[in-house]
Amino acid sequence: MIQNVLADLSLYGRLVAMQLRAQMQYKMDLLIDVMTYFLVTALEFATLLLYFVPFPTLLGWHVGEVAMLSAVVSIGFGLAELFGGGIDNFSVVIRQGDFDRALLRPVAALLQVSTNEFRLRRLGRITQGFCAFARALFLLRGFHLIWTPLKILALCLGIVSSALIFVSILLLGATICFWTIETTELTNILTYGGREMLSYPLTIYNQVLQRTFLFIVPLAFGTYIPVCYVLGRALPFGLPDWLAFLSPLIALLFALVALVVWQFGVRRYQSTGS
Amino acid sequence: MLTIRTGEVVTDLSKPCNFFLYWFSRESGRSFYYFFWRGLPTYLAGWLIFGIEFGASWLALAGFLGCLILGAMSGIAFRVLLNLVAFWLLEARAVIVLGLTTAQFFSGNYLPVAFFPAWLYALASWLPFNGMINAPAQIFLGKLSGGPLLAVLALQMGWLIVLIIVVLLLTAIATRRVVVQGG
Repeated sequence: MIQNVLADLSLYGRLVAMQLRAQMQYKMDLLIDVMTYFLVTALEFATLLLYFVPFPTLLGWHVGEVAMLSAVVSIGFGLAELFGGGIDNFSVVIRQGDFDRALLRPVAALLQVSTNEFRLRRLGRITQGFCAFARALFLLRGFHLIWTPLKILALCLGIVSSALIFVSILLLGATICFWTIETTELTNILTYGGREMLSYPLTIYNQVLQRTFLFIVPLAFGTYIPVCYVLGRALPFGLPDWLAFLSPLIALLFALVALVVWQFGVRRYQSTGS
Repeated sequence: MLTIRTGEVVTDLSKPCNFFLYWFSRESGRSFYYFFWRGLPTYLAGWLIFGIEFGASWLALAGFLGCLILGAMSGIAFRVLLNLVAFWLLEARAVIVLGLTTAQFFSGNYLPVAFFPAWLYALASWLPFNGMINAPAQIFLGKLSGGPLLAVLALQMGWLIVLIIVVLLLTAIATRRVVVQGG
């Protein structure tokens, strides 16, 4: 059993390395791609900063705090885009009938799908996330934030968890492809929409939206709650502080749900022929 | 851009209809489709949830529709312009993404143009992107009428003409020497 997992992991590593080698062949193109994506995401961050020119605070949140929130969301989303590129592209695989080939191979279909495309240009967003985080720290210099190892741990756990949840959302969207061939806009609402919404403090939204992003699609557990913990702010709905460390567990639960749905979809898959 | 990348653009160019007109018609059809399937449902949702209504006069409605159509055509011309870059750079996706994002930023998609700091607002009001989304929205909300409205419409028309001329020029230059790789 452990041998199977290790073999799968080594296969995943080799497939990803193959993609990396292929993309590194066109170094100039890759550099332009990464820089463009960095500029695009930086423009989005600039929008956030511009927002605070006419309005000094957002429901009590200072520009530096919102910038840190946006940076954390950006890094998590960038990681998800990096690792979930193949899943995002799944509608093309289904439409061209290539999924049958994946099913005929003696390896799990999900492994093949997720290594189909490893988009290195997403490094642009991750870089922007780190730059934004630096900018946030600069903006917060008057706040005298005390950094404890626990806070850093909460942030790292949160980023990894939010990346996992984003990938699970992409997986759910890919599963819908089995029935609708094209990914519905619903996945875009949750990924791009979720990213945009969670770049701002959760408390500015109404109760329904807050509960949705906490309990149904628990993105807020990976982004808003760890940042609240770092900034020393109270959590919504009076939730206890230590929940900031529970984010990996919640992310794993959500991923499990997505996996179950995916397996259900694979079993009921009827090819459209090629 | 995709047809240029796969070489299919040759079939498009060898058709007896104007290249730009062909793409313009296709994109106009798409815009029309999205107006009904994305625009109207979003408006209805906004009307139901937030109670947004169209409270301006019939003259404003005419101005709104005119601005919208001009803006849509400018948007199509701009997109075709970006995609033409693929004739020179094989992987033009980066340029296209950057161009589209700049357009979105200056048309108020990220942050309403009204919230721009003064210097940025002055720049944005002279670019064609303002007329694509922001100007129709302003007319809809009744914030733009009379003299300024006509000025905005004139600027939109001017930009549309400039964009179309540039696109036609670039298409002429590009199609004179097209080298297709493989088949």
